[in-house]
Amino acid sequence: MSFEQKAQDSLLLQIANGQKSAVAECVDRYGGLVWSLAQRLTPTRSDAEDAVQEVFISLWKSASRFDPGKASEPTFVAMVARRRLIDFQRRHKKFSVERDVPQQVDREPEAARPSPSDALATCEEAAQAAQLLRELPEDQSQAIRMSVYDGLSHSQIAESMGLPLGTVKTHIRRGLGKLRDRLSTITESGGAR
Amino acid sequence: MSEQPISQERRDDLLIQQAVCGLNANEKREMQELNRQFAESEPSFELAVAALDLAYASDQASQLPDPLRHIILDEADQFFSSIPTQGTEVPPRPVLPAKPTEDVAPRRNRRETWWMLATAASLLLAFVAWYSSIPSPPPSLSQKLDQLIATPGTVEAIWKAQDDPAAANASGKVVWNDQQQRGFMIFNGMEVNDPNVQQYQLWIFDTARNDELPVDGGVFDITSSGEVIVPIDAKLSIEKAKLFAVTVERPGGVVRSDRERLPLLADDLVDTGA
Repeated sequence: MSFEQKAQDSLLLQIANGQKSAVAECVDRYGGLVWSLAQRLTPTRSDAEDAVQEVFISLWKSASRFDPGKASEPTFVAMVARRRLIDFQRRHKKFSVERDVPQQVDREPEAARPSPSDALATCEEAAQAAQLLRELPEDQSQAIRMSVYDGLSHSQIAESMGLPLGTVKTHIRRGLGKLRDRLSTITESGGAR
Repeated sequence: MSEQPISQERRDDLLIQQAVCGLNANEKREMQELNRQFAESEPSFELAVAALDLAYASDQASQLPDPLRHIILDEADQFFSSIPTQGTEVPPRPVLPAKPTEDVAPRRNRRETWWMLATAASLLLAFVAWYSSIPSPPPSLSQKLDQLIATPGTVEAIWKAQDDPAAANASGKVVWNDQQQRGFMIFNGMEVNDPNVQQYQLWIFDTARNDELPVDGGVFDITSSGEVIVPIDAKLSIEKAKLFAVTVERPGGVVRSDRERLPLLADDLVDTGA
């Protein structure tokens, strides 16, 4: 897909250009992604609801900063969302310890809205990340999942996996380093979509 | 140097931590120190972490709960509708022609003079007709404020700065009219806020309501340390206002404030004497 096409298809750039009709589509396309992140990174459902609202306000404000040449739109949304969620956690001094939200996320009865996973599944960066997690040695993959998905500290991961702290850090550093290198190749070749 | 690889690993660890869960103040300082040791800046891990988040979300088929979706869409409406209301300035009206200077030319005959006068009169009439057909520009915020102050039943109160850095040099007043359900806040020297980090929110205490549940008077930004006029946007009807409070909240505001930061209060409401 050409740069011009990506820019034209971008909901965030449409919003930045004042097309309010793109707002609902943006919420439907990325709401699941943001909700999934918020549930993982905040301790309570109430916090997750507050945090999701903050993320979207932040997205409206930063819509014009989206650059299709640097990352795909879903990746940009995920970056903004995690940044905002980190801010939220730090402001509320609550880090992922215990949650009152089920890990099995809400399933909405209405089927009219597009499945966000459809939009995200076509994202090259997501596919590369999933592929890499499958390729990495089990310990590396596990350490990354526990850090990024479960929000555990390196010490907690070391304790849980029965590994020295230094080894856990090395696993995460190497695994994320490989992914970063792979993604930079996609971005340089203009393949992010 | 043998410390170089260790420093590089430490920098990578900090970059990863920054992307995954953020850094505290000490870690930020350490990162800055490490960055100074290397000639080249290291790319962030944010993209890699975001890609992992996407991979996870695409497996989950997670959907935003419907009530939350509606709240987000409502907030988006409020957000986008608030953008064009910032800083309404009165466009300049067309400049009237300067007063004609005294005719110093030699006297012309009567007929020539009469034709000249008739032409000038018709031109003037045409101009007046054109000028009066131009729609008046909307009044500025300060004009609206003056109109409200001159309206019977309007009350005002001076802001009292509380123990908060945002109000260290702040002054101004709040003007409100219960009958019209309209009002304005005037600020001078209030701390300019970064709307990405925090916003100000007004709360109106009504004699007819519980003090625990003041009415949301709207979220706003202070964009200048000079005079700023902000219209009040009461979300519910106010029977008789008795106190106004400004709090510092997260971007977009809150439904109920914890009042952790409360820079300004105004409670001695007096009639403007209109």
